[in-house]
Amino acid sequence: MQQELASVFPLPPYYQHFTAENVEAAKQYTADSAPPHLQYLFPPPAPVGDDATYLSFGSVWPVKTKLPTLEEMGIQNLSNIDHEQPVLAPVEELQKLSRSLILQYLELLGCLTNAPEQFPTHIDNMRTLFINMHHLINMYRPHQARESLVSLLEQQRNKKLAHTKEVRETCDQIEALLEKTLPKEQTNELKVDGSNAEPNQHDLSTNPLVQDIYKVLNQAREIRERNESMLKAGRPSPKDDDLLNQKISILKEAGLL
Amino acid sequence: MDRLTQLQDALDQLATQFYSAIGFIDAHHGNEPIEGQVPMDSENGNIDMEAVQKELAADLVVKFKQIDLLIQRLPGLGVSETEQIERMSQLNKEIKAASEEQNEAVKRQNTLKSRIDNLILDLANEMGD
Repeated sequence: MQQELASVFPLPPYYQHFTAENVEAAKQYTADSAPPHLQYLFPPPAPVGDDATYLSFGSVWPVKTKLPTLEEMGIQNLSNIDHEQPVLAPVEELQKLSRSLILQYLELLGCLTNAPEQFPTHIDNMRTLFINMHHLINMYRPHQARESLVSLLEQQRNKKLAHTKEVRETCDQIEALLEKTLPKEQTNELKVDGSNAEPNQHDLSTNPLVQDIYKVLNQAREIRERNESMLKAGRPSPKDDDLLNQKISILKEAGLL
Repeated sequence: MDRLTQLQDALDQLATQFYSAIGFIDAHHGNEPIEGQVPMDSENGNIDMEAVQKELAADLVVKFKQIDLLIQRLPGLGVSETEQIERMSQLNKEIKAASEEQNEAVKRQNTLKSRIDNLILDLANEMGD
């Protein structure tokens, strides 16, 4: 019956009570004094106490979440484990139960061959075994949850340590590079002569930041060298031409030329 | 997925295998003729019953071994709750220390970054001259 009562949505009459008029009308009543057609508009009192239960989608749930004992579920307890105490190592018990399970299955097969009418005993035994195993496993869940938390914390720590290490190594590399590229660091002036700006491919080629810096430095060196050689040859550099043109156009606009 | 859920799933699969193995044999077994009657034709088609039975048995054994293995590898075996909680507070301390070191390293990184920014700016100015 419970199965049939359970449905995803409330039955039609329930939500049909929530009309604008009813909501308005309900304001002058309390849960106790409301007429029957307005009863649905008042939420039921919250369940109170440790044993309180509530109904959700046709099933009864305890307010206080707790694993019911096998005895409470009406199942024979096959292990000698005290089900009130936390279990540290249910390995042995679970192994015993799983072996019994296989044995029961073999007996069931034998029984089906020789005396098929006796099958219910074996099925019942297997059911008890399965429920016992599931129960033991569920009892171990809080323990596993703590263990998972421990490993999460470990991961978090290792991640932080790895990040710190990586940042430090990169910083060391860049500092070493700067020392090398800028021998007189205190002047804070960039010397762009070829010999010092030569990248050390072996140590630093893998670091993208370092590579970018080198790109900029090398470009700067190239531009500078080109400009210098052009100046030496007595020709104005293209940049100078641009500047000159710019100045001429400004003067023209100002009407001075 | 966590091991306990894996174990429970494996148990449920074992139950399904129990059921379907019997179901299959029940549906496909041959018939022993009654004396004096014409033997019934098997409706099996080309199913090699013996091979199928062996396969079903092998599958059951594999599933059982899987369950056994999962039982032996339960997380945190033999560690008590107190030990777990001690380990957690220890890890908490370590994470705090690691965070501080991380912050220091990031600070250093940022300082270095602005230094490089300045260098590039200097370079650009020099080029502009």
